[in-house]
Amino acid sequence: MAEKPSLLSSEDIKNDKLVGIVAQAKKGDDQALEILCRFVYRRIYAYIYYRVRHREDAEDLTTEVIVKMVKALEKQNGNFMAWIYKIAANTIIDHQRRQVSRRETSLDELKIDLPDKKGSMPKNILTVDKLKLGISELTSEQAEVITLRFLQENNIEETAKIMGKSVGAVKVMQFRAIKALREFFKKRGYAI
Amino acid sequence: MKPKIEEIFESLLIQIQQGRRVEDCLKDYPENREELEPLLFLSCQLNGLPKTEPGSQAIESAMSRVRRIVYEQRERPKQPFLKRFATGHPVLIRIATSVILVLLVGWGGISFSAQSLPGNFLYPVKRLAENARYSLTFNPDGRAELHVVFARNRTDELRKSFQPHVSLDKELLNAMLNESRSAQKESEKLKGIRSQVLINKIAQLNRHQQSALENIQPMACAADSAVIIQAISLCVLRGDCLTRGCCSECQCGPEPCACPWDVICSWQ
Repeated sequence: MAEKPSLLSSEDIKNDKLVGIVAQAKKGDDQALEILCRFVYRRIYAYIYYRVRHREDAEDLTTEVIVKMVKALEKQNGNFMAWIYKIAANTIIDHQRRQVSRRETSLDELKIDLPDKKGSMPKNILTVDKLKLGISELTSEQAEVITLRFLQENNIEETAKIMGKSVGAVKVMQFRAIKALREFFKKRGYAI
Repeated sequence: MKPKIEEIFESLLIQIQQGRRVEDCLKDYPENREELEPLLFLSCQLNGLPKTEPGSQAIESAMSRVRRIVYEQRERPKQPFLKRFATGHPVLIRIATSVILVLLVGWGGISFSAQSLPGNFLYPVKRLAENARYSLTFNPDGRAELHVVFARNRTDELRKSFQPHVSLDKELLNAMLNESRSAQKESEKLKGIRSQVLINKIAQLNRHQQSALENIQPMACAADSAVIIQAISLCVLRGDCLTRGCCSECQCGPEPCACPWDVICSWQ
């Protein structure tokens, strides 16, 4: 019996290896598909996590992305990661639309427990929750560039490829995004 | 040229990633220090955030859903090729449908026009189809056969459209006799048995034309009657020429007599 791929084996897959795994998964290799799904889950979860309010939402949306990927994998062509990030971006947009239509509370009324609000965390420390709040104030493209470039540590070329933009455009977008984030923190009185 | 601030920011990010201190980086750009410093510190903080990890339970739940989908996909009976093709290539299907529709309409129009007579609205379609068929035939054998078919069509049209004591369609009469002439000219390019077969067909056609003209001649108006008699004579001469050999070889006089197959009819 084929050994079940470990979680560790799918943690980080180099690009050349990824192409082979995608090809095998397309041919119906279950093990390759499992490795691919686990790898994509981690990457996409981290990407979605900062763009939605709750951890549960991030998990549900990531699962949704994985399901869409599996269903459409046969027809996929071109850059796999750019394709998968596109699915994720569209899934986030759909989710945000659903949120708006449900007339949920505004972002300022988020029930995110900001540790610094309780006075336990100094104001000059950037926390995940503070960042989530900041990212929610950015435009969709700015949020995407911050996530891809700083939180997922893609280089500028990879980010451009994923976003389908030129390197120059991504540099401008990245600068404006970080500036907007800084402005947001400044307005909130966070000395970050 | 002074680099843009976005370019400087990106290059400093790379330097920091390679281990250079923010303070040292900023020394290279004192004029941008004020703007860049907080942004670079924020970038460092972003990079330093703990990595977000999904819960293993969430991954396992997603994986079991994936396995279920894969199982369902494999168990589901495969759609027939045509259906799969249709869903995968909607544009191709639309083009193919349009082509089939055009072909069907065209084929239907041509079929209906086959029985049309001069003056009918489908008659130009019939002639157009004949011309197209002729243009797409390149060998002399096929072309001669087509002239025979067209000559027979014109003969039938003349017979069917003829009305007693009404002026005869001279254009149709000319076309009928000129088509059989063209068939004979094409047959001259052929050799051996094919040539003989075709000459037999042309002779048969000529007799058919002669008989059609003889049938309508008694009912024709006075002005047309003379023309029809001339046409019948031409058919007789052509028939004789085919059975007794070409006139250019006959010994009827010091000069070979004019071949009736060279006559191009142009009655007005």
